[in-house]
Amino acid sequence: MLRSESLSCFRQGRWLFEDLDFEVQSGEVLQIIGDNGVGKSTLFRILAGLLEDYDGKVEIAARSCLFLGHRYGLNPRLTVLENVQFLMALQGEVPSEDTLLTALAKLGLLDETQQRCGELSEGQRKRVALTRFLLSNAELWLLDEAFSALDHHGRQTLLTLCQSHVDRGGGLVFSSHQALDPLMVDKTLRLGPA
Amino acid sequence: MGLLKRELRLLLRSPAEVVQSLLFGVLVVALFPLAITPDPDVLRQLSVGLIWVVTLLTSLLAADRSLLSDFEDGSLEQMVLGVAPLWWVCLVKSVGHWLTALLPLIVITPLLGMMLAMTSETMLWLMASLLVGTPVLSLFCVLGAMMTLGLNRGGALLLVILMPFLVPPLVLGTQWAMTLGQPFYGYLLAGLLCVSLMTLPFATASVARIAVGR
Amino acid sequence: MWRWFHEWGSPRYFYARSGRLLPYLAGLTLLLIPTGIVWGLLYAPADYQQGHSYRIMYVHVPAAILAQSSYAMMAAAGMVSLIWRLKLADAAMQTAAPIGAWVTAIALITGALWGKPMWGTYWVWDARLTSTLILLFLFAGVLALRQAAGPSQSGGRAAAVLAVVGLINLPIIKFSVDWWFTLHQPASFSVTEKPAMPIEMWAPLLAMVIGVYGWFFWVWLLRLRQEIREREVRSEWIRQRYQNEF
Repeated sequence: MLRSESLSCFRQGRWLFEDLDFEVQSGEVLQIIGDNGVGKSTLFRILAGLLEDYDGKVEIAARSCLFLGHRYGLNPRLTVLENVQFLMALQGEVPSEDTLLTALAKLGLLDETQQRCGELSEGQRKRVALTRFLLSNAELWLLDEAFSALDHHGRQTLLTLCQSHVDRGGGLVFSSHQALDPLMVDKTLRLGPA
Repeated sequence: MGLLKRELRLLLRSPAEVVQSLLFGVLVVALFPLAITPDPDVLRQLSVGLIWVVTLLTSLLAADRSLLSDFEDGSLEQMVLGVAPLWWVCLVKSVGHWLTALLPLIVITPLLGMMLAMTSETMLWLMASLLVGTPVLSLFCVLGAMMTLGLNRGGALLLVILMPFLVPPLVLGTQWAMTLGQPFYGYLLAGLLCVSLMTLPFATASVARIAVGR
Repeated sequence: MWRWFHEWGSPRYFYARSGRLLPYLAGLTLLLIPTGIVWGLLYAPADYQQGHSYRIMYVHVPAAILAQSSYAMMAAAGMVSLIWRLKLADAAMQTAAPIGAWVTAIALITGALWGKPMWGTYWVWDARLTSTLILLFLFAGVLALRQAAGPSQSGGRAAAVLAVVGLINLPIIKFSVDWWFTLHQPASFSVTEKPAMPIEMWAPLLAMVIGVYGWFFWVWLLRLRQEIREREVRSEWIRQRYQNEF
């Protein structure tokens, strides 16, 4: 589903990472661990296809791919519902309002659907951004620091979400500072000085 | 289609931006008689050019407004990754820029014309030239804004990049209005608009892919 | 044809081969420019209308011709770097831009100096002067964007798009400036209509034009080789090449 071959990235006069070889097959979970500033986010942006300055090869053989980075893609002047609708439309999907509301309710956002995203807290916005993972049937998920800023309940919801995605045969790449208990991690990639 | 709706919705949510463009136009035009002369004959002669230059500056001023917020909140990344063709996204962005920054100014052109003692015939042709010519400005402004996105260099860089490209619409537009609609200039301006419409969204799209990497 | 393209696209091959070209270009430049200057300034006959002041033409005309074609060459390099993602083409574009900008500036300054005796003022909004000025802005835009976007390859691609869009727009800009000019000015002091020059006058001009092209390619190659050295400092071949010399 996702394969990299001697992937290297040179930034600001140093190698951020060198010769990474990894592979994610369907139903597999890859966890990327590393301290701040070791290039986790850069790696994610390369995998998502947003960065083109790298050496080596990245192959994605998934039908579609969802990416959540540090910037959630939510316009602060649009409401929660409008933002989710728009992000779904960008993926070429137009879910009905019922489906949208059910998904938002699952993430505990039912009371905030008409609020502007600029008025929400960080954790709430993250949950809004995660709504499209619930709605979409993309094969590959790329979650960069998805578990930070979420409360206990939010983390549990996301974990179950990830688990069912993997059970359906989807691929998952995520990064976090620490290990996450209930989620079965198939592979671990450690970035930064060993 | 959802994209266009979003752009319009954002436009309705922020009337301040439209008002800002309008105020800028009116205030700058009000400065000219004070700086040059109140003599209506002189003002009449300069009026077409002055209004065109003010429109051009307004266009530059508003160039990166909506793109900047898309860049900062990450919407642009999602647009690049999404299935909707990126050139269409860029075209919609240009339309949004035109609707917020330039259309309001065109609507109040009669007022600006009055301030500069314009005859009504010139005014009509001026509005026609603005209607055909300003979309070209918008297309180029969005291209330039996309190029400077995330570079933190402010408007000076944008002006340097865009100035050469804004010359043809400016020249053709003012000539068309000043010759009271000589078809030669009208055809050229319309041709320029068609060519820009067909090419610039693609150029902007290729730059957008670079911009999200910053 | 494709093999040739690929070979020249590799920095290593290019570096080795272009080194051999340098002496020829240097020879051509150093032969033709002094010849043209001395011949044009000292020996060519004075103009029956403009006297000696026309001699600035021997700098102005070559600079003006070179200014436009250097933009075209820069934009062509930009297009190659966009289509084939050649790092070499990106370097070529980046190094051509400042040279082209200087040549354009020289064309403008000499044009203004020539304008003083001809038109009585340094600057008139003549169609040619105006479009050369806009050409200078085009160069300035590419340079400024390249500078602001930093040394990364993606920064170079944005500048390349700008250069290519500029190249497509160049004729449009030129024509619109021409029409603008004809509407505003009677063509009384146009430079275009010149009586045929005797051979003693245009022969040194020809020498200068060819010499200036030689100079351009010479300086371009020198700068490009310098740029390749800096960019490829991490690669094997450049280390080997220079370690042997120590």
